[in-house]
Amino acid sequence: MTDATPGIAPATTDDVVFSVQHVTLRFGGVTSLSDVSLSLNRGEILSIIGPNGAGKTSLFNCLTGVYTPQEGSIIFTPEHGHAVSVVGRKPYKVNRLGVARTFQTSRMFSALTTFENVKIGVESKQHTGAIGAMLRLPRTRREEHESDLKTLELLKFVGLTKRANEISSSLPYGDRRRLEIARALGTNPEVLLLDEPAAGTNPAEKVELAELIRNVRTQLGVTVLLIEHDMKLVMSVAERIIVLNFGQVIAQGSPAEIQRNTVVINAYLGAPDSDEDNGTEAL
Amino acid sequence: MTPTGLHTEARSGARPLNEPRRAQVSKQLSRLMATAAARRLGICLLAAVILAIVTGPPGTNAAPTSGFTGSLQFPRLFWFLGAGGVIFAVVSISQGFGGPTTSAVSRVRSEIVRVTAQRTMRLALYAAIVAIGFIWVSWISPKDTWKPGVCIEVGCAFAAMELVVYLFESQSLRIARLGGYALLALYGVLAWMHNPVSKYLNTIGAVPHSRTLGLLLLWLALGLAALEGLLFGLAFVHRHVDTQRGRRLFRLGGVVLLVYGWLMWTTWSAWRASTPHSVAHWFASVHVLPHSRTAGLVVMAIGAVVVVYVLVAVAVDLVRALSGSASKQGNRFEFAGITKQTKFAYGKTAITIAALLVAIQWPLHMDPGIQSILTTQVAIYVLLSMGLNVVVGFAGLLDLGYIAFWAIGSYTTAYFTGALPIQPPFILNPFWIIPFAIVAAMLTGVLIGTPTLRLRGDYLAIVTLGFGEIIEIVANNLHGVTGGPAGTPGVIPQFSVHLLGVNYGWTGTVLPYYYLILGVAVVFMVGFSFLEQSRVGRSWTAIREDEVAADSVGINSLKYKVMAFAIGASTSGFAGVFFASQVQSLVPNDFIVQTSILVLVFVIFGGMGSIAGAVIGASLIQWLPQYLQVHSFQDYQFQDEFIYLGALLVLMMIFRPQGIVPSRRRRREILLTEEGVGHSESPGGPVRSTSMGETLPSSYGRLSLDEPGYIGPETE
Ligand SMILES: Nc1ncnc2c1ncn2[C@@H]1O[C@H](COP(=O)(O)OP(=O)(O)OP(=O)(O)O)[C@@H](O)[C@H]1O
Ligand SMILES: [Mg+2]
Repeated sequence: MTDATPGIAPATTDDVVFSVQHVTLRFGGVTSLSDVSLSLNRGEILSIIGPNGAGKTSLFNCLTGVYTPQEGSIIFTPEHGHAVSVVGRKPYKVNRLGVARTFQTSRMFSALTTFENVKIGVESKQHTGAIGAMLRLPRTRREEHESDLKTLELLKFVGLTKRANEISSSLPYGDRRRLEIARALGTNPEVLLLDEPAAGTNPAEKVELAELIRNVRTQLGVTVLLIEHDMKLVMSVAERIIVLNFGQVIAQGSPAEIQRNTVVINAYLGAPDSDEDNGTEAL
Repeated sequence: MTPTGLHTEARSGARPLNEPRRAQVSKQLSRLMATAAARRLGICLLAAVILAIVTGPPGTNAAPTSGFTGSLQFPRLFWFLGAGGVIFAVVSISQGFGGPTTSAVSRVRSEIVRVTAQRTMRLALYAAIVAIGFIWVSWISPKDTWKPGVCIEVGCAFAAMELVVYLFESQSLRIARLGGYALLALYGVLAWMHNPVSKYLNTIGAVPHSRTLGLLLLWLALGLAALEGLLFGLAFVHRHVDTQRGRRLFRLGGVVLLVYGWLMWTTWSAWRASTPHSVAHWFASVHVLPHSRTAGLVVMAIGAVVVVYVLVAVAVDLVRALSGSASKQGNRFEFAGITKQTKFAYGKTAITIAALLVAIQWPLHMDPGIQSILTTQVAIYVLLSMGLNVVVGFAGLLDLGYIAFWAIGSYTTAYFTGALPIQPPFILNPFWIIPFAIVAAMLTGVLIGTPTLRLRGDYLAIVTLGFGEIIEIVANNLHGVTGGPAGTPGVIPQFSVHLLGVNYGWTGTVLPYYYLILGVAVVFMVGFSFLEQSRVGRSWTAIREDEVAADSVGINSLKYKVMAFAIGASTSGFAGVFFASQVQSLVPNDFIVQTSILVLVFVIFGGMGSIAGAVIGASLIQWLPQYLQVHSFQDYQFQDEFIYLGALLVLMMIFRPQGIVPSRRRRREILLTEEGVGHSESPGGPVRSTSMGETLPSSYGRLSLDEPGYIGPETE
């Protein structure tokens, strides 16, 4: 894990975790990402915004190996070790590199308890196999004990200790989001990708969520990439913002810059005079 | 239901007449039928009528319909309808009627739970079960003498179980265990002695009269109690060994024991006792120092252990002090509700123990015919069903060719015993073929599974189905290898073990096989339940529920699926060895695809993902044809079984889709799916595939307009 770097994000481009170069992703006739290039620096909180269908989730899926883009490269550089290409790698292998994610609509293991959900994340890198488990060998028991402790720690971190034994599908919406974050953190990631974590939560929960995201970065030292529609949350948490529209990066900069950017405002409200195709081409 | 029906009927009559009356009635009727309870009642009554017809007298040539009318005659039909009504009531009480009655029903149900939580009530329940069991037993077997004995045993099993629960509730495991030893010792004494009580118990078959068995049990109990005492002593030492004084005391005690043992060993007293009036003589006469070399050795050993223990404790302390590591830490992990054993779990253990006692004792009293059925038709299928439960229940993979691995295990056995036309390089006894059979079945499983499991669930079902067929066809047609449809030319020998002084051959009766399989089944049960609660089991659940999410937390789903498949296959191959050496000759007809389906039915019937369910499903359903054959309806044919099974499954899916004893997780999943929350009900999973052949979250590409915080463009 990276060192905690509270305060200002490093501006140097040397320490890039994810480097996305000229990525294009098509589905038949639909182009969800066209020639997207961006980089995620170690230790920062970067937010990706954009209207519906802009390609944000598609980008996440490319970063985690769910989709394979037709063109371009995506390089992940772990803190210790060599840079590797994510393109064409299986999602579980990408996770093992140190990339964890949450989903736009929550995807918990709904018949399991909160505790078990998080524990699955924690355990995924352990070594107990079928035979060890059947015989309950000492290593199995030790690993079980370790993952119990770590799970408890994570539940405490996201504030779900009281709900540890509840079935996850009975949790309220906001808690589900935090459960997914805890599960993702359980895999010990260097980068956490959050896909609209505030969707469906109430204002009070949003405040807590912002706090949690900041803690993920400062206390655990995990780099955060955040997709969010809630501008208040984005502005309060993100250090840098990238705006996507029709699969293209139309702007990037600090929150204050983005708020003033006319291109972004037009993208959200619809460009007044040109039709959409021309509008994006011109950008 | 009827009052509501009448009520709505009356109201509909008062409606304005702008609708034709027929349409109104049919609308009312369909509304009524839309309630779950009405549907259920209809099904129950219909099933009763069908059953009445099926079991009725046959028609004659002169009056072909006489069978039909005869079976629907009035007093007879009423019995069936009554039974249907009772089943409806029972099911409704356990499921809830739906609508306003639900809360009342759930209150009744919680009342039942509350009542059975009382010990007296539970005892009454046991008495009732024993009584009903008695009636049932007298029904299935005309043999008389052992009936009271069996019922007394079942009663004893319940009592033992209750005792176990009681002792566990009292939170003292040591007392619980000692109680168990006392029971064991009592049983041993009863078997050993020859007095009126044990004579009576012997005649009713509850306690066999055997001095060796009695002594054996007695020694076992005493040994266990001694071990318990030793452990207690060690714990005591451990607690006190930390203080300086305690340590000195124990070292002294150890040394005294050593000396005393040495004196005994040298038979010092025997040697000195020849001199009258000596101290040694006196010692020997009051039995303080008996002369026995063995006893001396034992005492010396105990003394040495105590001394060494103290020394080790000192050494450990020293090392700790030197390395500066933290003081003793309790490494028990306490967290409310996670590792805490609940009373429920104790109850489950108690029931398992009671069932095991019944499974051990019951077959002793059966006819050899029934014993053989219990072994070849029930016990082996219990093993098979437990293995398939790992594949279908734990991992959620639909395997329709499971029997193929059984065939592979069986034919491997036939090959290595030299019973096939082709001869092996070396001939082995079936007992030593077990590892070969397991490896052969597992390798085949991995070979079939690895390419197929990459695809979606349906493909696996198709490939395994085909594989099952292929194995059967191969067995039928490769005359030179398998002996063709006529079966294996040679005879497969039975088990025998010659190892380290143990010489045992499983010849003659079938019971030793039964006990061997029972032992293996218990080991598998424990192993599989550990497996389910482990990291591996949780990974299976994760994959079953949401493969995309499982991938996202780093679970290699292919690996785990292949693992489940291989475990299932090797269990099946393992069962094949038992089967082959028990029946001694194989025909390809033993391995038809229907058998795969049958085992799948056991698992679904018992409750997917539940080990107890797999066992119960296999034993109940495998018993069914035997039962039907003895108390046959008119012209019962063996193939008819599938009609009954089909009906059973349909009823099951309507009333209790989760199975008889479902696993907690699976039940939750099914309930969630019915509410539309969860993802998977069937093996195969929730995931849609796209034109690109990739798997996607089912929410994919959907706009999130209804979610707060949305700031996209206004939709036109
Ligand atoms: N598997 C797919 N098949 C076809 N089209 C797809 C697929 N995945 C994404 N798309 C298309 O790609 C475009 C981008 O979708 P994406 O889900 O990435 O948008 P988004 O920015 O996450 O939007 P939202 O704010 O609604 O989450 C959309 O037009 C979508 O229909
Ligand atoms: Mg999205």
